[in-house]
Amino acid sequence: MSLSLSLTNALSGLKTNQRSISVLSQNISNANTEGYSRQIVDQSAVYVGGIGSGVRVDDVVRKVDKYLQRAVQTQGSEVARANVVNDYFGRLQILLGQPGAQNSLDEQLTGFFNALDGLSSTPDRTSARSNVIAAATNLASNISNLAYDIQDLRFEADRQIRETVDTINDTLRKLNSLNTAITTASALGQPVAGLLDERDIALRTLSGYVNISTSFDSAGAVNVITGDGVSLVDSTLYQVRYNPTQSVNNFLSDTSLNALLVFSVDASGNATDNGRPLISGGQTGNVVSQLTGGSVEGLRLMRDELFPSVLDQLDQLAANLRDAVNALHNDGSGFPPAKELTGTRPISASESYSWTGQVQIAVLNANGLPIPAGYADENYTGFRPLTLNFSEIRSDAADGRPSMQNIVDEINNHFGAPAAKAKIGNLNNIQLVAANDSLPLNSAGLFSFDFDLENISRDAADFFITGVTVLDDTATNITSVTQGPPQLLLDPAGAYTTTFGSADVTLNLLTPPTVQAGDWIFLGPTGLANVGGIPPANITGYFQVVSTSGNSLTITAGSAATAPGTVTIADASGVFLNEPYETVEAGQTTRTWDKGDLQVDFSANPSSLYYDVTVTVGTIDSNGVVQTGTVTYRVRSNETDLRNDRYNATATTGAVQRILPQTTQEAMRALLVDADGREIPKVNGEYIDQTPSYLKLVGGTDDYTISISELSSRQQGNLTIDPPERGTGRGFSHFFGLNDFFEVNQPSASGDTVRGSAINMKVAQRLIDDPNLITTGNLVRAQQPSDSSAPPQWTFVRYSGDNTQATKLKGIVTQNLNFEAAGGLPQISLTLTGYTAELLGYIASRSAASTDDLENAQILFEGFKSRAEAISGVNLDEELANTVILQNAYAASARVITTVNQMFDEILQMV
Amino acid sequence: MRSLHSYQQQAGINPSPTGDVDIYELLTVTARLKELLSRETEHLKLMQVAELARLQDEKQRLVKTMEAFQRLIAARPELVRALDEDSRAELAELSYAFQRVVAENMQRVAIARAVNQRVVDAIMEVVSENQHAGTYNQRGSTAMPANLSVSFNLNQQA
Repeated sequence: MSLSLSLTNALSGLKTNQRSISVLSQNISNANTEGYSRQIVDQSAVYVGGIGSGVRVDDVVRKVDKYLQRAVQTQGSEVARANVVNDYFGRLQILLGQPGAQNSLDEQLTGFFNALDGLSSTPDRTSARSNVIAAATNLASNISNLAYDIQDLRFEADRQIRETVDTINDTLRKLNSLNTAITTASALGQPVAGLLDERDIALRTLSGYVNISTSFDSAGAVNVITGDGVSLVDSTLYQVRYNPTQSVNNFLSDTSLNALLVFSVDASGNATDNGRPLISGGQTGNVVSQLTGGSVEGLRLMRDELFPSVLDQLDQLAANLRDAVNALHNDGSGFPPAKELTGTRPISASESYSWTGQVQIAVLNANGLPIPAGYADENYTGFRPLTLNFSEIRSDAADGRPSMQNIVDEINNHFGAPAAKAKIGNLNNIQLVAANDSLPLNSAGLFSFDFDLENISRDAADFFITGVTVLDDTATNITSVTQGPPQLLLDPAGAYTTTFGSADVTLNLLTPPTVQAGDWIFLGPTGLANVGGIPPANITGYFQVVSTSGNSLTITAGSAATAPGTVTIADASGVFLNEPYETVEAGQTTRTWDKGDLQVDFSANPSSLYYDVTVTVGTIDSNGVVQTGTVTYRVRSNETDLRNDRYNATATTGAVQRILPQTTQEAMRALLVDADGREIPKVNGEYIDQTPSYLKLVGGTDDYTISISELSSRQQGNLTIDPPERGTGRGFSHFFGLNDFFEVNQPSASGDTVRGSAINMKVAQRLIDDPNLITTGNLVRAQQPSDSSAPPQWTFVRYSGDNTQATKLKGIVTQNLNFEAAGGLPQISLTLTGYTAELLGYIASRSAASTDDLENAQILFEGFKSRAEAISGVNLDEELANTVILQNAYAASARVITTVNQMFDEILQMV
Repeated sequence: MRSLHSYQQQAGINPSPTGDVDIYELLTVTARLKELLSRETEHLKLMQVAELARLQDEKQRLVKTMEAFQRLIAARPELVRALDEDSRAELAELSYAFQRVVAENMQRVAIARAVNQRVVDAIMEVVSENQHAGTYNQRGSTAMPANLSVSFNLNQQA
């Protein structure tokens, strides 16, 4: 309501009353004129309707006097509340430090990024690395200490609440006694002025602690209730009780706070009821206060709302700083890289998450160069990194959503001790991979598998599978292929179309081919004596497609047809055409299950101890060189947890070479360990579920180091549950916390919590112990041989002078990060320094506002107090006249502001 | 519309002989207004409303003079373009000091208004409470007439 409207209403109401008075009472003839004085009105007795009820103007005056007394109490509560808030904000400001001071948050943040800037300029200097650790440690401890000190202020506020309880209880006892004394004195006709003054002081004391409302009974006793109606003084004695928090640690752990309760008590001080809360108990954010003023409310406000708000903002700053730095720090390595990495995220072997993308893990020597390869034919190069494609990992949960065990297995499959490999053409190794999870003895049945192919040549390789046979442990052929490689069937009605004298033969298929002219196909046996005069040997095997059209494609047979026309076959079964099962690009390692598993049936001899699965394979390089042969893998029965297990060649024929390793040294080992670093127990070769477990990577020898490039890897949480669990979106190493710069707080599967990030801010101890482990660079592909005909290098190295990651780390300072809404600040995209300024500015403005609040509250308090004390009662005329004066003064001041500011702006702009 | 000259005369300020904007006159008016607002603020701190009332006529005159200055400057900017460096510095300094004074003045006026308004509200509340007789007379109607509000106009420009 505007002042004018309020004034209008007030005058209207008053004049209405005055008019009724003038009409109904002959005693007041001119209440609306000069004769309307306090003295006259006070003496008036006004009757309404002649029946004795109505308005007494002196009653109005008396009630307004009471109102002023109450206003003084209310405003006194407000001053006390504002005083506490202002005092604590002042202490917070001291903790934050002066802007630009050496110990201030903004300066230490700037110092940290300046140190990173130095590191990016000289990444191989120990001093630059030490400077980063020193600056980061200062920053982290400043943030942590600040958070701790704010929690300590909360503890201090809590302690002060407890201290006020004694004074409140003393005051309540005094008021109770005064009520008795006043009632008794009044009844005996004794003077009570002194008692009333004493009571007034007690009420003002009480209102300084809690906001109160008073009323008086006919005997003159005061009843006091809180603003929310909780009785503090009446005929019963009430006392307040509060069990404070025992130590600041309770705030750190967010222990539930106790309630501030009001009990009615008997003469011995024992509670006679269960108490009513002035302030409820509960954890931060759940405390409810029935108070609106007084120092107790001010203390609660700081303890439960304002300080937690600042802590929320500080946590946002710390969490964003930590996560931004850790994300980059996990993407790369120091120099020399670490010999082992241990995750900080608690996991269990069976938990699984959806992942996307790839991660690259390399084992290098202390100079950042590849360790020796496991095979003599690879001596020209070195041990290649594992590029783990998460979408290719199969798991019990769902393909592409590997369990922790799956991930450990995949790492160990790559870095474990090498075994015999099967090499043919451009393919460096062909491993059979089990899709089954078990193969029980005596009941072995279907066995599904795919392949893991590696190409370290310069060119792509087409990989064909053209046959599968199975021998049992007695070398008996028990072949039963229930699912072969994908094949296209020829159309029985017109399988081959030949032209006299031409070697071109058009093959008609039941479905369109996916190959194009120039691609290679494998054509199975025709089952015919000849095709248009072309003998079987010249029209089976590998052919290059000449052209395609609709469901048909044309090849060039080994000899010309001697008859034209279309050749039909009895049926399509057994006559097939294979397109490439997989094309493996140069430098690629890939699984083939997405092209279709192969499956054989062992049930012809389910009790065989093993099965030799022989696969007929072929490769064709970019020059059209076809190489074929067979690889035999021994699959043992009576085994469990087979899925993703690799089988290495036990025998080869044809162009496939079986190459034995030159070493049995593993390059690296992945394992799950407990909090003390002990390996988690295994059952049937797999880790038991034990929480917490942590992923650990350990180099195969003391000279081996580990470097990880996050590439595109992203942890996506668990998308198969309802509701889907939002993932962290972090890369592989960052998710596991293998190479964090700042330690995380309360890591959990759904991501580190923001709450508590500030107080737990700490530089990882291993970096403090060895600053060389600060990530400065990343893996880069090894230099290629100058001879273009020499085989390429698919190894990766880590150069000591590489500053790519250090440069990215220092670049965080200019990046906009997403800060969630916290403690009054909205969700916002800002740089770290920008958010720090926002945070400090917000606190400064709140602090300034608290000073203004206090000042305003004090002025209002003084205003009401002077009104209440100036005269024994309010002068209605004077109040109304003041309204006009103040309204005019206000309007004039508003004009001054408008006019003068506008004029000075214009003048200063002109000149 | 009255001229700047007439407002200057009313405010007791000697007008420029040329009739143009005299920066020193402007500074004088501003300084007087600043001083008046300071005095007003002091009275407000002590809730001396009667003393405050005695300042209002002068305040109104000075404000009107300022408004006349402002209109003239807006209409004829060339009049102040010739100001020298010292005058500009003096203007800037005065502007800064003035803004602090007027900000405190506004705060104090607002608080005094708030106190006054609460008291008036309390009066209104009590009066309103007492208007409701809550009983019926012998004719079966309430004692209070249905609508006895009195309309009036408040001259806030006085």
